[in-house]
Amino acid sequence: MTLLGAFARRFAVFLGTALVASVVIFVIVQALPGDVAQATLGLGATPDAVEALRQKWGLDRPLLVRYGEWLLGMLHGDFGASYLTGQSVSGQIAPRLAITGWLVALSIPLSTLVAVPLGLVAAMMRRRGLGAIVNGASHIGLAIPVFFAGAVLVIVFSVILGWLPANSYASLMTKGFSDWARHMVLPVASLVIVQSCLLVRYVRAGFIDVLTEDYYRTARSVGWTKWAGLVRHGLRNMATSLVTVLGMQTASLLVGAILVERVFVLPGLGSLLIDSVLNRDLMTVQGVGMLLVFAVLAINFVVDLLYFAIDPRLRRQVRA
Amino acid sequence: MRLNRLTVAGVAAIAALSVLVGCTPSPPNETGTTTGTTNGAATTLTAGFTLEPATLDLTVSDAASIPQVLLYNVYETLIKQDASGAIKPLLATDYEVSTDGLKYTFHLDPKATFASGTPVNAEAVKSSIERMRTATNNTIVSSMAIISSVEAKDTRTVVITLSRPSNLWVYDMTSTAGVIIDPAATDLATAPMGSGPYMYDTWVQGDRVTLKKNPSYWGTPGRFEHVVFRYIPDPNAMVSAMLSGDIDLIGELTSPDSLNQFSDTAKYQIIEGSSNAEVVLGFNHSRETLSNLKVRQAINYAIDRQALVNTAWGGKGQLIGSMDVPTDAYYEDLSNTYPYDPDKARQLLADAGYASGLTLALRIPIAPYTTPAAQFIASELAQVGVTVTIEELDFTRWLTDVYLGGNYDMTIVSHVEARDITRWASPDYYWHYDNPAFQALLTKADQEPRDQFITDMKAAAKILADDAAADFLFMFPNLIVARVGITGIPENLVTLSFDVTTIAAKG
Repeated sequence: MTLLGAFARRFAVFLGTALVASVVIFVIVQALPGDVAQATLGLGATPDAVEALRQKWGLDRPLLVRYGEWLLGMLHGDFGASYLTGQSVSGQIAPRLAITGWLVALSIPLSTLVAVPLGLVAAMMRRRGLGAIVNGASHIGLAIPVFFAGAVLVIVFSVILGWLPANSYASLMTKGFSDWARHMVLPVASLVIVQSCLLVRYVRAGFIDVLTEDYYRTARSVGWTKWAGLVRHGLRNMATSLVTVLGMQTASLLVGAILVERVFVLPGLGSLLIDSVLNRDLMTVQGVGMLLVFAVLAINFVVDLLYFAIDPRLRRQVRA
Repeated sequence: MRLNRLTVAGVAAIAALSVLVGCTPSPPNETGTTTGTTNGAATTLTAGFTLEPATLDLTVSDAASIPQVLLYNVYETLIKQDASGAIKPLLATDYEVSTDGLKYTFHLDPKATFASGTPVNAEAVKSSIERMRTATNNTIVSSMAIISSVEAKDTRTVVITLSRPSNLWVYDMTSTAGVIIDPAATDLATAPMGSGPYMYDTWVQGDRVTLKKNPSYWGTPGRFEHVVFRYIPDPNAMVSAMLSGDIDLIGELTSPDSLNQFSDTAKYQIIEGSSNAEVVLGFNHSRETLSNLKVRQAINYAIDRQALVNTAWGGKGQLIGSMDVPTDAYYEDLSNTYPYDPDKARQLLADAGYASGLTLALRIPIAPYTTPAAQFIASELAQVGVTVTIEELDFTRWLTDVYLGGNYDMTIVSHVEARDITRWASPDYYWHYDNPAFQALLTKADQEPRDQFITDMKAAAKILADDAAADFLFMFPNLIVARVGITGIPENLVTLSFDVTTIAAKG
């Protein structure tokens, strides 16, 4: 099997998964009790008024017709329009994705930068004071929910010190870098604090595994020092498991950022999803759902590619 | 590559520091100059609210969050109700009613123009009213249903003919149903157009709606260049935003417990007024148990409503006893109809044949006030032998299951619309309360001369109270926290509007 063949197969799986996911999302979303017509009419709703609105929005048509229409639209890159406002779903998603995107794009690399050195220290000095401190701190950090970390940061830096805005978002394009950055510091910091604690656990465990491997003992015996040997021969091995975790973290953060979004009142993807579910604006829910599926699949794909980049043994297997 | 211990430790330390550095602000002296605050020139008013509208089209959606932003600020009505409930001119300088009470002649203010520059003439008013009569929002449609014709007599005179006289309709014209929309507005969902002192500017969904000053407003202009309605669903985030000065006021405080954080009167003012919202413990009258007057009365006697307000809403909120609020012209305090008396409740239940107890399903929509209220009610009713099972539903599921599906025994909802005592006259409404005497009285009251109207509306409210049609728990308070220097905030909510037209800021 060639490298190209391997990628082609992965891509086919990608498409197949997306198709299955579209069915699952559509069915689950339709199964939600209540619909957008009722939600919109609220306490003024009567069965007749609800029915009229359903007809107006085409919600009374058979499921299969509506699914077909949605799928066909997506093939043309059209995710449909919100029943309520008539705005295109992709138009609604874009600004939200930008915000969640920044949260993910900043917090994942930053927490990796924090976690790798700390994890290394925690592994190497695990029987000494510093290692124990790092290890203990990461345990405590793991137990802190991200919204709690966020709330504490807000109280300290916004309410007491008054250095930073408590919440809300400033767009990089319209408000400029400094305003944007001031609004991003606390949300990103709270994500980094919690995420890096989790990553430290994985990095530490990964390095400890390396320490017991034969190749490390060999490296030591040919004269590599403890630390240099670990970095030279261990980092790459540890990296495969780190990349796996990072992939999972990135995917879960796309939706999981909702917690941070709520605390800091950032209009991200998670809040769009929740609000649309509450309003039963199903086209938007479906659109966000599909976007997340694509994102998860793409992340997995990238993770697979990274395995190849990191591990020469995998590349050799494929060529053989 | 060889690293010594020191280097690695150094890298680790730098990495750890980077977390801390990340928390350090760039310029530490920028306090208060963040987006939306109004220190200095006070050209922007930023107000925090809990619920964001899903659409801005009030002809489609019933959501209270739409008139909250748009009514009076962007859209105006022909006539307006002042804080005491009296009717005042707005787009119409005055109006006359024919002696049979059927013909209303409105004289439009010749100065009135839409923000677009188009005059608010009779044709525009007519087309707007027609738009409301054929709206999707059923609350509006039902208040406009008694209009039989609208005529543009000349450019400044509109004659509206009703199919029957109605005292309540005039009030409806002062509120959401009576807004006059610019005929040029095509996309009300994302681009509302009216004649108010502020114009719709932008809507960042999930975050804020921004209004801007209407530079050519025909009346007294607004005081701010921009008014921002920020949506902050999390109560803690709301409090933080207020404490850090990000917002000038909290337009609706949903965490009365947090009031003590604003006790510094040098910095904050707390405004507590009335609203149109009755928090109702609704009974499903089509259930055998609850169709029994004794059971309903027993529940009313069993719940200490003042204690409930203290527990569920920080002691804020007035006891009302029926479906009217103090700003209603015909309000009467009926909160003492069923004083707290658990012994009497037990006796009534025994008389009704439930001496051995009964079980009732309390299915509530998720809201800040429903959960604590439901828990309190469950514990009160347990004292008199009624087992309450609480179930929380998201609002749309509640609408489907409880409101339209009738699948409940008891529920708790805040009814925010003004004059919604009329809901009790339709047996199809989710309470399934069918009292012909009440219905007849309400219909009669609506068509009578004003004095008689007031008397009969009072009598109607008394019927609901005596009949224990529901347990009218309390009136939801209008709770506002504002920074000192903000003036002109209306204390009482007589409509759903958060009326910023009179608000100004010093400092």
